[in-house]
Amino acid sequence: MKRSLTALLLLISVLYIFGCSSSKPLPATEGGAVPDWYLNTPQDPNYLFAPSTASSKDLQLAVDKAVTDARAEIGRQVETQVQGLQKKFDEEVGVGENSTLLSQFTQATKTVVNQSLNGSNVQKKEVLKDGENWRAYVLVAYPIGAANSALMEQIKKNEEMYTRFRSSQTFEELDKEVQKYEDWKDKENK
Amino acid sequence: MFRGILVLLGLINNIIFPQVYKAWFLNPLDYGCGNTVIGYANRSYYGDTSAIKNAFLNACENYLKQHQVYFSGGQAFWTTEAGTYWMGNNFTEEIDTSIIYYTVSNLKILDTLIAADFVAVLAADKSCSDLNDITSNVNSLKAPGWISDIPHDKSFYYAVGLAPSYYLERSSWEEAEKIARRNLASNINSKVKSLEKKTEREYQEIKNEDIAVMLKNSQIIGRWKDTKKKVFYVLIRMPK
Repeated sequence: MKRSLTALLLLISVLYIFGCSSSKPLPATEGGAVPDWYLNTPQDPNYLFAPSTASSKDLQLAVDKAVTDARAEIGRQVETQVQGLQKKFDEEVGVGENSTLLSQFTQATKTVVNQSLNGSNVQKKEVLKDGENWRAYVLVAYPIGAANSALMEQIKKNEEMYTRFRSSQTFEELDKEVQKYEDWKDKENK
Repeated sequence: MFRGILVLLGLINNIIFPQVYKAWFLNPLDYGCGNTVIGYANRSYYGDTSAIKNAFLNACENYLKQHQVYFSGGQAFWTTEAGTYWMGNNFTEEIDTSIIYYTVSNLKILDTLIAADFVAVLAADKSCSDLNDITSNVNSLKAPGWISDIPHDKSFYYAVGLAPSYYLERSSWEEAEKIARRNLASNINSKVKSLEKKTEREYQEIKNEDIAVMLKNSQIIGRWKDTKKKVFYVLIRMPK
């Protein structure tokens, strides 16, 4: 009985020592090593680059957040529609001589991206444990050739739309009205 | 006390089941065995015969995915000054199941890997004499470059999928493979929509990415397990 008690105590001591040894602080490299390519974005005349970083408790979500953000940035580089809204609010507060005119000037910018990206690829990817979270660094590259062909596609679509418009009845009417106007102008000048 | 027991169990587990994989599992392209595929299954309680059969069926399903899979869906995020929030996703993979019987009758098991808690089989549509029993311990190998520098060339599209360590190792490998296929699809074509609003006082952005791509003749060409970070990596490629 005594022997088994001693053995049990010995086992507990061994487990305690192992337990203590595993509670060492995490290595300093964790969460600190920012990749060079994130700080210094590569330059290449044939590619558009977008570095991005994001963190999450879930490994895949951290990567997905970073990649989607980088792709949106590529989309912004290819084509962006910026809508500026300026609103001026004038408000009068109080009564009579004590009234105060508050003039608030608000400026808002709305940026819309709607882009189909062919061949945008994640060229570099780094995941680090950042405390309880995962931090992902990604570098997305988009070949300029693909960007150009996307632009050509857009131009082609516009041309197709214009061709369809030209063959429509509305265009014929417009053409006739313009012609009438031109004839009237000629008569007036004579 | 509890931590001590876990460490002790971990040590015992590492001694009995070191992080050893067959070379064909980590680098399938190193063997001239043509179009190979790997299937996974959990280990059986009594012997691994049924586990190998299950892994073979999984290999047949994966073979179909390699042959042709339609990957579609999307995912959205909402960013404010406080950070980026995940708004959900709905990714799906569709395969042609009409040829599953043909695949089952034509694939052959070339080799098996019995790991700590899963079984993997290497299958192909023809026999291969180049295979050997070389094994590699990932703890003693240098991590491959492709885990951070993803290859790119004129002939193939490449993508890397990663997954954290789950209770069953099989789940980690399977998720990394699925994520690799999804990343490959989004590399080929993705539609990005973003609406960004900025005022003097606030900032917010809604981002959405949609994918609808047919993957044909994709092939998993590398696997790696980072035992320190506990991250599983899979490298996939598809001809352009």
